This record gives sequence, C-alpha cells and structure tokens, in this order.
Amino acid sequence: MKIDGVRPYVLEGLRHAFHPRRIAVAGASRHAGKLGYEVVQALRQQGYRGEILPVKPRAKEIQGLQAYPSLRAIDGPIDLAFLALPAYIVKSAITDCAERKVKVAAIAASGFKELGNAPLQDEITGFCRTRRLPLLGPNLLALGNPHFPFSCGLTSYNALPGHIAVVSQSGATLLAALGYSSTHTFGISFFAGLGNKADIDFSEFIAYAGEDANTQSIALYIEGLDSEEAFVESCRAVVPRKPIVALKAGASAIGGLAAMAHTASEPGAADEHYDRLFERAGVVRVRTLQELLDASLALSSMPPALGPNLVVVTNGGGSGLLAADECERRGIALQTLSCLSATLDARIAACAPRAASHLNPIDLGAASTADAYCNVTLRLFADRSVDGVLVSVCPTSITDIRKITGKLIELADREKEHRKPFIVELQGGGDCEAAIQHLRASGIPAYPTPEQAVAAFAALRASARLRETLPDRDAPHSRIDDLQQAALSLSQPGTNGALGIP
Amino acid sequence: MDAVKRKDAGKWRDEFRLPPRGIGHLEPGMIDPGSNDMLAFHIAKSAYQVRPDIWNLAWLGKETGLPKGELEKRIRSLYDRRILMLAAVPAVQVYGYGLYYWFRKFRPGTLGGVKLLAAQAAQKNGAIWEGLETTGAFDLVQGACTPTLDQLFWNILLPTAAHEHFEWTRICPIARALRAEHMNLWDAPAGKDREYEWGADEPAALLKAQQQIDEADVRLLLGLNRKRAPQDYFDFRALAEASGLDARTLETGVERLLLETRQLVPIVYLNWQMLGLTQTIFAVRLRQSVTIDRRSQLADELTAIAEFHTIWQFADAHYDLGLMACTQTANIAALRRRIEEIAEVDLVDEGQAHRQYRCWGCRLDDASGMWEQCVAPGAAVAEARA
Repeated sequence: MKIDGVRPYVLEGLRHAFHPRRIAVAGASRHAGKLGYEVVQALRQQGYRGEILPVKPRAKEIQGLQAYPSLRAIDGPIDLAFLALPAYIVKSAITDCAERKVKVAAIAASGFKELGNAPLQDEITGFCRTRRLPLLGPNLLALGNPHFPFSCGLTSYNALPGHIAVVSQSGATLLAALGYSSTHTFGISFFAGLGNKADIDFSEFIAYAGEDANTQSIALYIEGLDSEEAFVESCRAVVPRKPIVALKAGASAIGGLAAMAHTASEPGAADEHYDRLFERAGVVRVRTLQELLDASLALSSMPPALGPNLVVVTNGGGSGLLAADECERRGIALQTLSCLSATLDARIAACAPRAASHLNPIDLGAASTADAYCNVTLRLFADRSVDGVLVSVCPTSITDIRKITGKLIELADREKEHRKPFIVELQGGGDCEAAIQHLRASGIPAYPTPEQAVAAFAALRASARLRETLPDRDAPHSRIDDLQQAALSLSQPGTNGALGIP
Repeated sequence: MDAVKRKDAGKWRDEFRLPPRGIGHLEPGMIDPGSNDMLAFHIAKSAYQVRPDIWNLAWLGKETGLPKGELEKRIRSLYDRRILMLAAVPAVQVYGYGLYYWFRKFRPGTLGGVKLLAAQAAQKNGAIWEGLETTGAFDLVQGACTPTLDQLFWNILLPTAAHEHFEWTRICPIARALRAEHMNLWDAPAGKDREYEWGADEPAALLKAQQQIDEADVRLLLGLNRKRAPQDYFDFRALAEASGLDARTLETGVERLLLETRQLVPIVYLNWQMLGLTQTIFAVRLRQSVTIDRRSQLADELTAIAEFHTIWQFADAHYDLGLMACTQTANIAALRRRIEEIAEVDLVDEGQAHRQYRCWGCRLDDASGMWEQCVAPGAAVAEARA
C-alpha cells in the first residue's frame, strides 16, 4: 500500500523487529512440521536469548515454554508478534497486537491479495496504519538478524553474520541467499522476506538499513514498488553511505502476471522504467540472482571503483582473456598498462617473473609464486591510475593456492589505506573453493569464475558512478547503535544484558 | 425393530437408492476442505477457546434459559477443564478419502509395557483419526482416513509399533457413518442428520455418574448440539469481526455446508474420559446370508435406539456394525439383549473403552499435553507416507 515517505514509527518498529527482546509466536504449535512449531524450535536452537512467548489457546505448554491463550494474556512489552496463523484468524490477532501495543507484527499466512482477497489485506493494513502498528507481510517468509541472533519464519538456514542486508519480496530468493550465506561465506546483517509488503515499504527497510551499524550494502529483490517516490528518496539518502543493488523480476509479460499471483505486485511499467528509476535512486541494477549475491558481496566489503581502470593479474592466460572479454561486454574495457601510466609497465616488469606478459591482463605464468602475485599487486595498489585489481589464480600442480591466498589477505590488510577495489578469482576444484571462502571470511570478495569477478567490479564501478550523481548526506542520528550495543551484551553468555534479559 | 418394517423394504430401497455413502455431493474429491464455505467453522475452531461470543448466545440463551454472561462463563470453564471441544465431523469421503476402522487384539500374555508403547505410537501417529483403548474382546479400536485400503495397510497398519504382538487385526471399512458421540451424521436416516441423541434417562444418569458438570452444564451441552437453522449456530458478526471477512459470506457458507453439500456436521464433543466415564463397544457380525440392503436397513433401525451414541456400518469386514454406548448412563445389559434379539445377528463381541486418545483427528488426552492438536485428513496421509 502506498506511502508518501518513510514513517518514523515504522522505522522505530523495525528497530524492534530486528532486535526483539520478546517475541510472541501466535499459532505456536505442538506438531512438528507446522510453521508455528518450527518457528519456536528454530528460535530455541539458534540461541536466541530473548524471551519466546508461544500463543496457543489449546495448549498450556509448547516445547517446554508456557503457552498463552491469546496475545492479550501476555504481560509486559512485546517487540515482535509473529503470526503463524491461517489468514482467516489474522484479523483477530492483529486487533490483539494493537491492543497490546506490540512494536511490530509479522503475518506469515498467504491467502490475501495474491489470491484475490485484497479487501481483507487492505482492511488489515488500514487498521494497522490507523493504530500505528507496523506490519510485515502478509505472505512473509522470514525475518531475522544473524548478529542478534534470531530468525523467525519458514527457513531452517542459520545465516552467517555479516554486512549485507537482504530484503526480498520473494521467499525463494531469500532462501537462496540464506542458504548461500553459510555455504559460501556470504555474511548477512539482517534479512526480511516481505511477501505482499502490505504496509512496511521497501523505502522503510532501506532507511533502517541505512542506520543499521552492521549493514554495509543492501541487496533487494523486487517484484513491484508501491511507492516509487518514497523508494527513490530513501535510496538517495542511503546510497552515499551504503550501496544498494537491486534485482527486479517480472520483466517478461507472463512474469508480470506471475508476480501478481505471487506477491500481489501490480503489473508495473515497462522494464526500462525501472532502469530509469534505479538510476535516479542511485541503485545498481543486476539481472540475475547470482549477480545480486556477487555484487552485494563486493559492495559490502570493497570501496566503490572511482574509475573504470581495472587491471587483471593472472597465472592463466585463458582466465585473463575471459575476464578481458567480460570487461568489454560490460563497458569497462581493459587498458594496457602503458596506456594507464607511463611508468607502470616498467615497474611491473621489474617485479614480475621474466616470462610474464605485461599487457592487461598481466599473465605471470603458470609457475607464478605467492611473492610474484603480491609484488605485482602491491604496485597496482600504489599506482593512482589503477582503479581496481582483479587477481585470478589457476590451480596448476605447482601453484600453492593456500600460500597465495594467505599472502594476498595479508597484503590487502596491510595496504587497505589505498581504498581500492580488490577482487580475487579462483577457478578450479575444492582447493579453490576453500580459498574463496577463506578470502571472503577475510573481507575480500572472491569468485569462482572470471565473469563473476568482473561483474562484481562492474557493480563497484556503477556504484561509484551513481553516487556521483547524488548529494552526499550525513548519517541521520541513529538509535540503532544503542540497540546493537544491547544486542552485543545479549550475545555474551553470562552477562546481564542491557536489555534487561537475565 | 420398528423404524422400518421388512415389508417396507422395497419402499425404503426406493427412497434410499443407496447413493455413494448416502450424501448429497456430486462426486468424491470434488469439495475443497479449504473452501470459503468452511471459513466460518475454521474461524470458530480457532477462536472459541478464548471467545465464547462466537456462538449464537442469543439463541443459546433462549434454548437453555441461561443468561449471556453465564453462558460465556460456563463455556470457558468447560473448555479450560478440557470437558468440551468444538469439532466439525467431516464426511471425509467428499474430500476423496475412505474411512477405515480396525479392531485389534493383543496376543495372550502381552506385557503391559508393550501395550503402552502401542498406545503411545498411535497417539503420536498423525494418521490415526480415532483411537480407543479397550478391554474385553478386543484391545484397540482405531480409525484412519486414507484414499485407499492399500494405503491404510502399507502406510499406517504395517508401520505400527509392536504389530507382532497382535493376535489379530480386523479391518472394517466404514460404509456408512450414522452417528458419532450422540450426533447423527450424514448417513443417518433422511431428515435425522445433525440431531443430537441421548436416551431419555441418560442426562439424569450423567449427573449422577460424575461431579464435574452440573445440570446447567448438561443443558448447555444439549443446547450447543441441538439441531438448528444454520444462522443459529454462530454469531456471524463476531466471526466477521475476528476474521475481517464478510458476515453474510460466512453465514452463506454454513448454510451450504449444512443444507446442501452436508459435508460436515458440527458437534461440541463431551470428553467423557475427563468425567471418568467409560464406553461399551459392541462389534456385531451379521449372518452371511443377510443382503446388503438389509444390512443398511438394520443400521437405520438401530438409530432409533438413542443410547447407541455411535453407530458405524462396515462393509466387507469381519464385523458389520459397530455400536457404542456409555457404560454409566445407558443400560448396557438391555442394549445387548436388543442386539441379540435381532434375528440376523451372528456374533456380538464386546469391549470396554476406558481411554479415547483421538477423535476426528483431534487429540483428546490432556495428559499427553496435546489436547485438541488436530491433524487434517490430507496432512495425516502425508505424514503417514513420510
């Protein structure tokens, strides 16, 4: 439902939604396999240290926790009410939420606008807005904060704590990101699967992400935007500090209809409209789910690329060529070293193996060592004409992947004052995959193909270009730091948290 | 037996016509259990525990003579004490399921621990629709709804814990469900469905047999279950308020369910085990020469005996009829005599039920901590398959 701009009470609700001290689960179940069972079980297993309040009129106890007959029967504040209830009883629970002054409510049920039941969704949304009760969903898959930690919804994945906010209208896409998180070292600051997003708008999640200290980049999966101007305004306020990357689905004719059936997203304007909208908002647009994950990873851990001049360093000619081709396709064609700088070629030649090619890509040869990689990379970091470095490592039998990776991590850490995008690509087997995870855990975006690595750089470049069109803004005063400080104390076992939880 | 005379059998056949399971639907499996017609029941089932106002208290007040506040207080108290539970008995065949019951007997000398394990396994098995523990001619009476007999056998019976300890298992597919827990179902003789039957002396006997409910509670129980017009069941404005849906739409759905499709029968179940009561179950076999239509006719005739609070007619089974009566409120010896007087009866096995752990997919035993945990027929089958 449309909004004119970010609503302060919603922003306040989101602060509680992602740092909930007390979570009520209405529709908590004693039956394994039901959502209301899985949510309670997941909260307990994830080590959530707040209070879980199961609501079930038929039960006195659920999974060892006292059950309440209704939300009204709970004493004390409720930060998040997660409604694992069928659609036909949601209204009653929402009324109880409003009476109990719950900070934010989340509706998991489907069966609203996406199935033709728009009047009910609109009535509930209107009621929530009148009572200033921020509402997530309906048709919401999950929300959570791996730093807190907690996760509520239809997911069994424990996301890795990190710096990427994932806000997805699609549950499937969110699940992909959550699943990818722990297996591919994709650290998440918070996540939400919005479903029908009847009330809380994308723009409000973006505003929240803007003030969330753990978030460094924002990944959006969008099927439709209800409030385009609010979205643009919110993005423009956040992008100077935190890049945003968006995947907009439903561009095809049938896709638009499917989006309506999926999350009740109105068939929108032509796809080119969103190109212009994202450009105006300063948002990097990507076309595939993999790109969304790759770009948001790079944007969360690397500074924007202030220029297009990428230099590729490799020990494999083929991977270098593939990277070069991809750069050209993406409009950031590689320049030779001599074109970039009068002295760069000579400085590289001085430290590279004798047989190395000094074009761009710089091919160090199959026998390249960790020292050779680091010497060349160090000089590229130091050269002001170079806007980014992509290191590609191919695992020959004499390539010491672990040593190269370790040295590159040390180098990147030592030379970080250059504030220059640094991306690594390793194409090969299990040793390469392990090295990628190691690099990612050390804050370096790493990928298994040249195309992915170049796309990540392209996103960093696009982010910088888009930022240049926006006014820089100071971060607004943030209460989130206080809440996160409290969350930190919650996550320390044996401490009496600042939130008052024993 | 006076309900239908033998000489009227031809007329009875013409009237009854033996349609599929005697119900007014077009074709099995064509009615969606999640259809909008079901919404009012779904809302009521989710809300009545904390909102007694979803009942039509105005109608109920006139019926029982109890004021509104008293009604609400008593309904909540009876629910909180696990004595009453709202259920909607679904004619599962219209969803595409068959309803199968079975009687089981442990081998002589089976240890109590084995019986306990078997009971616990059944209690946990979401595919079990109804379950009774008995003593006497049989030890367990259970039921499940599955699409086919094959699925019952492979998915439910074979995986049952401790089955090697059973001497026999008698599968009894339900041909007609005429009455359950005093409530006449869709297969009751024409016009008698939804009628709540107690023997004339039974309410008084019920009051003498236990101390947990009083005369006003019994009046309330009878009122809640009285056959009435669809609009008198619920306060549709309260249901609309709880759900955000249109009151008229909800009411129309109940009208369709009760008067047209007749795919379910509402009942407020009396949890007899909570009152310390027990049940007598008669498993009756008819002589093999008795014709199919006569078997149905006999089942119909037995509905005239109100003390039989549950009446099943089985098909192609060891037993042809299952009959239940409350041991403390009915004259069991007289009932047995009436059965034995029927010329076509070949065998009467008798068991005493002291524990009912599930009914219509809802768990009843509060001691298990799973009171009113319900499993829908589809979910039950899926669970059994898993």
